[in-house]
Amino acid sequence: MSMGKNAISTESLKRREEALELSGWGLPFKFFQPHNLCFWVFVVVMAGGLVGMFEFYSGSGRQLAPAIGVGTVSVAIYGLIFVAILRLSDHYERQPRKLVLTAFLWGGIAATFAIAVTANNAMLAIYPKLFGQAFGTDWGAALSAPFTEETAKAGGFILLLGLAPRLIRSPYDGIFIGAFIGLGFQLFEDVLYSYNTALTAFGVDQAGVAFSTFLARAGTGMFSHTLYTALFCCGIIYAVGTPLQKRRLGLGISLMALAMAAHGIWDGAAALGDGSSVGLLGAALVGVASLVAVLISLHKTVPEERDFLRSILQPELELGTISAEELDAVCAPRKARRRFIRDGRGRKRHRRRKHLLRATLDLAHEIARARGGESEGVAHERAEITRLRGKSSPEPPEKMGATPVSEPTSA
Amino acid sequence: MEHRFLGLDKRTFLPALIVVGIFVFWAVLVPAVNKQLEYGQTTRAGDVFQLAPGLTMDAQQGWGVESGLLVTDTTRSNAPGGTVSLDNGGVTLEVMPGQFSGTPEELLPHIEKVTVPATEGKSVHFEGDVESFKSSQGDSGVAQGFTTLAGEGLVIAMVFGHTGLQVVASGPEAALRGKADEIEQMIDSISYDAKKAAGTR
Repeated sequence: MSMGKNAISTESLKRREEALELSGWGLPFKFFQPHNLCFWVFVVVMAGGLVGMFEFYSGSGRQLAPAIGVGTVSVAIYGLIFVAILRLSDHYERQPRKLVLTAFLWGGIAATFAIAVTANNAMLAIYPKLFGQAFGTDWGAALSAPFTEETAKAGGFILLLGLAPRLIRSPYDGIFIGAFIGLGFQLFEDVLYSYNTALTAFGVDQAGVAFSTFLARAGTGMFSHTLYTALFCCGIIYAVGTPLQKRRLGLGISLMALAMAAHGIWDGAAALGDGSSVGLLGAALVGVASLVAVLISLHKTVPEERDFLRSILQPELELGTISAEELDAVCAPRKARRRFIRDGRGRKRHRRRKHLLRATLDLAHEIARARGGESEGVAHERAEITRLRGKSSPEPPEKMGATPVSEPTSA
Repeated sequence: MEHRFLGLDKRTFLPALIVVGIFVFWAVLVPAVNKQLEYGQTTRAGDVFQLAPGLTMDAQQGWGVESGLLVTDTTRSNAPGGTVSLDNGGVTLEVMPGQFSGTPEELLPHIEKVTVPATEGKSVHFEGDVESFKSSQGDSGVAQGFTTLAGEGLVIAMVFGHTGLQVVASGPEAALRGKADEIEQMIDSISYDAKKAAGTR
């Protein structure tokens, strides 16, 4: 294991600074921005959503409380699993919790109850008026929801772009913030469906009806709003361009169109398949295509996130906090990380190496939070790395702090 | 360079206004267009609505069809029928099928407690006795009147096999009385073919 010198080159520090500036890693999300019109629009539409939600459930909400309760508990458990998957997938840069929560609430309340419910009702009434009841039955949902719901959810993402332009910069950010907006929409919509099905069953066996509705929707949840919105918001980043992502209008529009097409084909599966399961199969295939598109987008943008991570941690290599092997491993794809963890024998060793990688990643996040400076968090993570490696004690943070050498050394 | 207008950062205007545009388009403009559009379909003599597999209702002439499939409508999705919602001179008639096993007397309290308040609002007030009746097809049902802030109405519960049927007729008092015969004839025409219903299961 080769360890570096206890001094950091100015070159490395400059790169770290640039990476922090460009990526926005570690910046907090401030929601209250009275000078930002996006803040006021967010607040007003969210208030509209809350009123809409109250009105929606006010008619028979009390009588259908068991259905709403079972629906809420089921989707909450289901949602926590989704949140855990999304947070674990967000390996390199963890978006601030407040930002993620704001995105989730837009999807669940503002997009659903201030825009989508009203718009869907109107659209579902317009199609039969224009093209007949049979057309409305077959195609009403497929020709409404992709437009009303995807734009309603995207509205939240556009506002968040205006509220946190330094935090949402890459297609990677678009995918994760979009996924949380979509997840919020999906979960609140699932409760709404539990309520509606209990209503059409005249409020009989509410718990059973609500749970079977939840099961039916949860089974297809993977190819639902979380996926569509992740893809759509990734497309927005490409379409508008950011300091980090060069504008690629064609690709952006294609991804947004794919998200809408996947949504529409899913909603129109019965009609497309002439009432047979062929339509569902087709919808599943388009869903898989959307998932592949998201994974490709992630694959293309993840190297950039890795570069940021490397630039942030490079000074720590020079400082001797981490080794070159550890730096390579933490910046590597999942498979290589696993190889690093399983290198050598013994479960204890594997566990220690896993914790070492985790601590190194946490150190990067703490450095980002301290904007490259020193903090208690940074000192703690350095100490943790030293402890895990079995060193006696870490050097004090004051000494380990940025001590540039006059001659830049190669990174 | 000055970026403020009325204390707001002008650079935040574009994303905010795009979202205002999305909101106004979907939550204001599209519903307004819907209100302006007339019913594309008006019932004709001989029209028969498909409520559920094996369950049909003959329409009276001249009612605007807000929703409802005719037995002659062919859908690619093989829709088995569904809620029928008709409108005529301020009077609305909604016939909603749903899964239910029991008697009309057992169904009515559910309808009055759960489904009618959801559509008619909390101001609905049921009054008068619950009356039993038998349709010309020999099917039994129960009915009760109600009043709302906007007028009055009648709610009916019937059960066919494992399908419960909720019928709600409502509107201003005079208009409702004017359409009472037509409503009665439509309810009377509801017929159930158990074989057809079983065939589609």
